[in-house]
Amino acid sequence: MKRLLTIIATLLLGAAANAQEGLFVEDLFEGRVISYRMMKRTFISGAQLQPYKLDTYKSLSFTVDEGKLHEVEVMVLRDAYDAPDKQTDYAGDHLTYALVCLPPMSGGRNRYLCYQAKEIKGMWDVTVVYLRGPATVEDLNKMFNKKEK
Amino acid sequence: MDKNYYKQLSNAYFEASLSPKEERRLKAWLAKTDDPDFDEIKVVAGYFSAGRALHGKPVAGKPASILRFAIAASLAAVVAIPLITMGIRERNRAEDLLSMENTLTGFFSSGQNAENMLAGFFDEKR
Repeated sequence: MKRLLTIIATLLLGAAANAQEGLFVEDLFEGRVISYRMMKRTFISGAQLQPYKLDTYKSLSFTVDEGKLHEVEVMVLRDAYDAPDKQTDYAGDHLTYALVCLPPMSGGRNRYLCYQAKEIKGMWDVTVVYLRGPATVEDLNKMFNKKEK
Repeated sequence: MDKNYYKQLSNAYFEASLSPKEERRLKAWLAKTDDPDFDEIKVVAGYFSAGRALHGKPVAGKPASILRFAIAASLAAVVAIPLITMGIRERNRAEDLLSMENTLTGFFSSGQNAENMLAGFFDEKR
């Protein structure tokens, strides 16, 4: 019986480690806030991310009304609250940009939460990205900031 | 006899228009040649031989060409389906990586310089 409980606990821990490590946006990535049918999802992991110094990339893109946008904003801001560092931009009352450096995981794996929202004819196009890996902000900036080049 | 002759026999083999004598001649040639031009026919002919050894002669009344066509088509499907699936998977991976690059370029190229944002954080700690 003890062995069975140990196996179940290990499986549950594994599942938890695979999710967004206790973030509020986890609900979003698990399809509990917006249906999967309403969003474009891209999940990449493994060796193909090595050139980018990442091991996990998860992105969601969707279009929502103002009410739903507020729900998503709250989740992102709650995750950003305890973050060691963050950058946020607002347009009026709405969060339009967030780059959040989440507390790193053991083994030197950094975690980032990126959020962007653009208004188009009363609706909002939202992109939320979760990144994990050894890449530092400097690394990501070098690779993806085209303004610097 | 030269290679061109056996190439003609190979083509005729796929069209199932060889006489038994020509087929034996072709198989004798295949057994001793290492020419890569004959690799394809070797695979198919080998498969037929194995099939015949297992199941005997084709059922009487059924044209041999249909059976051969069916076997060749099955072989082609066995080879092609995994290759096509792999191709689709590779293309999807490439598309996902491109989409990732575009998305992250969008994030890191907009807003403030992300590198500078950490500077303030570290300055505070000093």
